[in-house]
Amino acid sequence: MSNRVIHLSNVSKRYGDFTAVKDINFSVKRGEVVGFVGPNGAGKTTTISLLLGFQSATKGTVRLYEEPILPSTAHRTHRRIGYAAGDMAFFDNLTGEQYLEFMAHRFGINIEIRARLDNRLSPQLHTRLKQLSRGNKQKIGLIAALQHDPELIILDEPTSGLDPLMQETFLTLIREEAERGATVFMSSHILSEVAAVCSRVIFMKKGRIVSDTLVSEIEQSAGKLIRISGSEHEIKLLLATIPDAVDIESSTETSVILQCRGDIHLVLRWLASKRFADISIEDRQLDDLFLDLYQDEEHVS
Amino acid sequence: MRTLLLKTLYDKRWFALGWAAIIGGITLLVMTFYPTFSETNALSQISASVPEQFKRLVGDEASFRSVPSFIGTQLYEIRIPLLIMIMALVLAQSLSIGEEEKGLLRIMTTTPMSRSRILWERWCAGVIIIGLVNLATIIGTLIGAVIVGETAPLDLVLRLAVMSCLFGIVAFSIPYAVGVASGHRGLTMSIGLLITFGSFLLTTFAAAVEWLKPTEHLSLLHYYDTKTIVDGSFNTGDVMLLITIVTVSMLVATSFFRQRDIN
Repeated sequence: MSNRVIHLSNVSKRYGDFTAVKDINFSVKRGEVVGFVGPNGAGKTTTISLLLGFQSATKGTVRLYEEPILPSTAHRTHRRIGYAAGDMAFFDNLTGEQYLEFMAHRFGINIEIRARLDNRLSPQLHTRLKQLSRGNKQKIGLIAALQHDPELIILDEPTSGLDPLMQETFLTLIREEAERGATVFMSSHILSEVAAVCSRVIFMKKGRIVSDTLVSEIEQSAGKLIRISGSEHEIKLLLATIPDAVDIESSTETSVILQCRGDIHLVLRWLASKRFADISIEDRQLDDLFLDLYQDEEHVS
Repeated sequence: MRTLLLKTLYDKRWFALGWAAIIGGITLLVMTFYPTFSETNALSQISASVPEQFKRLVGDEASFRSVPSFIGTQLYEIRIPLLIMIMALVLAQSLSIGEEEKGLLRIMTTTPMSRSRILWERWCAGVIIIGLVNLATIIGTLIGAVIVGETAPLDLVLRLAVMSCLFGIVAFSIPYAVGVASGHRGLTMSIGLLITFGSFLLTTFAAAVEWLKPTEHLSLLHYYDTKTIVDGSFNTGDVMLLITIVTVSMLVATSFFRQRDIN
């Protein structure tokens, strides 16, 4: 039996003259936790629409559990999937409990998991969904997605619009599902959020995949930020002898911020030979790396 | 909320009750006008003085003189079908395009229900609502008759209501089918309005305007023959045609909806 849960082969999606997704290929194996990252309009939601059968690919094949996904047949795999999205619509006339009951009749329910989710999220079950705040609605959406213990969890920017506390609760729940063995495919435009949950990240830009890499590799390649302050003369001397492994991120007459992507030991030896008033070294934030990637047009594969 | 059908009926409960109250109430009100028309001596004089074309629009003297004729011509010939067509168009638009635009269709299609089932369960909910509204017309007619001290023949009212129900299902199914097949609001509303108001205008004016007569069969109301029902039977050809329209519309809609992209 194949280990592949998601498989996209040469998939494109066009809307008239506009191509939302261009010739993308990737697979997700059973138990993998994969982030799908890109700025707005990158093609993330279109790809998820193809995975769930909302839309059909203009070219290529989309497979879930080796079943070809077409709008007419996609429902056959849906019992194995839990789906939630940040901008999801709800049946607003129903209460949370009625909505979850309706979904339970469609997907089935694991009573233990449902009780755990209720306990963790404390949802407002007896209020009409139209009267709930966005965060409370999303709690209901997440419970609906997870209460049947799905094998594959597909999330489309699930934390958008949530406060930081709620974001953390959501991410913790998704991590727990991943630890229980579920395959997770999660889109986001925040790399640090994805890195906190996923082991692998697929980057999209303008409908193309620009990178598909492990989070551990991203963290290694992110490098360090070195902040140095000193006199005008000291900074001038420093900038005059910068080694290849270092880029200047910004500088003033009395301070400079450097990016180190190469061997930090070499850079430290170079710094030891220089004079300055103060120095601090820190890890680069993943979101800075995200900006690098999307600002660099040459990275498009 | 075991099924999408029940959920849709629950969602639309106030819509259904509201329209049932409005159409049932209008039916009752019109029924209470019967003695005013049937007992006036001036009706013969008025009838003799108006042109034939006008009589075709509002009914001749005989249609005001007996309860069965009054029910057939003054309630079920134009007024009730027109109100039901308007309600059917609003309902069809809401259950097709309305739900898609709100993103609810996406939620339904994330479940293990097939697209065909989603389409047909919501259609069934629409049909039940149309049945409920027609039930209100039966109740309105019977109570109205009792109020004015008359007896409405139950078999006649039932036959008229059954035909009105079938007609409502057609008026609902066509825009619903266009909505689910195309996902296009403009197209759905245009076709729905064309059928509803086009039929009304064509049928009413064709009775008076000679050159419109050859086109009258294009009106949906042409196939809603109350005269035959008042005489004691159904026009089988009309019934078969209406059933065919519903069947074809829904089969085409199913075929398109199973394959198209959801917005």
